[in-house]
Amino acid sequence: MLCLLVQITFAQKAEEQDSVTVKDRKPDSLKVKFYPRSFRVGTDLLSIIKSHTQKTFSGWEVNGDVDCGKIYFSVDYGSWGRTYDLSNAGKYENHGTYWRLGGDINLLKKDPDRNMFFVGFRYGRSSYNELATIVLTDKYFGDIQKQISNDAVTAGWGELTAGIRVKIWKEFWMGYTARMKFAPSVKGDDEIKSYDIPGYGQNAKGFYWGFNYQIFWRVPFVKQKKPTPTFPK
Amino acid sequence: MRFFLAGIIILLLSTCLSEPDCLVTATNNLRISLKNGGTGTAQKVLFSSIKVSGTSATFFSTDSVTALIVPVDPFAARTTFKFQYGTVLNSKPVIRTDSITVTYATQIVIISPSCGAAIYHTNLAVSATSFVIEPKVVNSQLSTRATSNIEIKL
Repeated sequence: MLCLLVQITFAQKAEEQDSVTVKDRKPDSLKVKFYPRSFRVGTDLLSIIKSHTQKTFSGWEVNGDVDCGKIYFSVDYGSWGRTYDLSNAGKYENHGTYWRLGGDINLLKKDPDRNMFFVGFRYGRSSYNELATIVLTDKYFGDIQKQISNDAVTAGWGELTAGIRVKIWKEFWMGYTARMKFAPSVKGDDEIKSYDIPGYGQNAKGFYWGFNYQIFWRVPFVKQKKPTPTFPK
Repeated sequence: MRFFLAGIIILLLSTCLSEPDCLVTATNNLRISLKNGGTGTAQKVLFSSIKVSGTSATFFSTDSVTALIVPVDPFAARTTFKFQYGTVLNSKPVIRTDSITVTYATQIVIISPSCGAAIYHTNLAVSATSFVIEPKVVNSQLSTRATSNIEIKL
């Protein structure tokens, strides 16, 4: 999929180079004014695929961003549930929702389609519950089966992001986002130390990687002016 | 762009190397070191019986020892130990019985689906004792790495 996306990007570039017969003045997004031009709404395909192929995960994620020139404001909202069978006939499950808020900077300076290669930052928050059935064995004190739950857990973390967004057809876009999630902080995990944070991953890890493969539909606020061709004298 | 893509793929693959192992430091073993009340040096003591609340098992030492490892009740918030041991009082060997009650916080931690869960015992404190010199907590977390949790001076 990644290769396909990259090939599409380069194919578009090659097509542009072949078909240009007149000199266009391409817009420089570094110089454009800061105002909202469009918003994109999309979803993460990997979450949907994982929900149907993995027994341990169910969830979805909706993504949106607003094009303000070089800077894009981004918001994500998702649902996340995990179910794990633990050794010793135990079980762990969680369910909750999460959101992320942040921004991206488009590093592609001159692109008429406003394709993106971006880096950015997100702040994420999650609220969820956890339920675990634990079977513990001790040679002196015997076996015990405990059902424990954290009913109202909240967590926050930061993310550094990088990725691409490519215009595929008309207002249809595709892209991916790689996330380095870090500094998780959890509140409300009194009964059992929170194991899995919706939107983040395993709590025990100080940083965690995430990856989204996304499709978007773009809705323009203003009609973008086409560059005026300049004919050679 | 090519370097960026290669970097991302390498970073994603590197996460496969960080799967948790089952080396868990959690334990319910309480490590007690025995010291001489006057000199503070290690004291050898022969225990004829050690009773632990929550279990009918009785522990004892066949030889004189300077340290003990006894289990706390992992499913309770406190455990009482009753020691019957030989000591010297007024230059005469006697059998004494003393007790100590410890409290602790427990937290269940899931290590991984394959490793299961473990109970961590922290905030160890002495809540009651009949020893003349109050035992001192030197490490409040029970851990396989701890050398001593409580010092008892006799």
